[in-house]
Amino acid sequence: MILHIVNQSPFSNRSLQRCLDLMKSDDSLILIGDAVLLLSNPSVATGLPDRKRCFALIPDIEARGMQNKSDSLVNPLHYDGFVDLVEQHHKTLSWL
Amino acid sequence: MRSTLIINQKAPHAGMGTREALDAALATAAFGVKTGVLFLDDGIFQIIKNQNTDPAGQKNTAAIFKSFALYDIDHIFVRAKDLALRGLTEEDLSVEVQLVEDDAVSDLFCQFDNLLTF
Repeated sequence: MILHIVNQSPFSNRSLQRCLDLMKSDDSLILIGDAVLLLSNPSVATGLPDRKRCFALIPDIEARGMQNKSDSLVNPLHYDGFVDLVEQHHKTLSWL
Repeated sequence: MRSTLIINQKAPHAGMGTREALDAALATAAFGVKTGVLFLDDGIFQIIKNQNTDPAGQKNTAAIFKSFALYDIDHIFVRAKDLALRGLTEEDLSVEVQLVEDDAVSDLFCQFDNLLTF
């Protein structure tokens, strides 16, 4: 059970798709930094996990004006929620 | 015995990633941690043969990875799909590697205790 962390925009970098290609069904994904730009057009990525295993960091969502687009796709959370998520998973894997 | 998988995702010679990955791999191995190295995506170019880095004033990264056997780092993996996508085969690599399909890559993520990405 791995928490995958992606921080690059899916429109200019393939790291999100590379992550999705290798994720297992019980893994989770968190979008931070420019990766939250996915919310602008989620169809750019294929194989996104269910909403219950898909998260995004609220400060990064709000800084990029994505707050109205997020709720159906991801669970928005603050830094403390991010910490809880790290704690709940066996390990984390950052995609560059 | 603890185990660490070093995951290299970036091509060499731009940034410090390759150097940092090498330092991490040698340090974990030196402390008796079972260490594996996985090359994904452009990270594969770190071990490509025929690097002539003198004109660029860089280090030949493939030569450094050759020393891994001395440190008991003998689990070196390459994602087969990424190798093929770059028009390469094992013949183009300077070290002996295990080619792994996607299911096996995901299994590696599970098998090792710690994952470090560069």
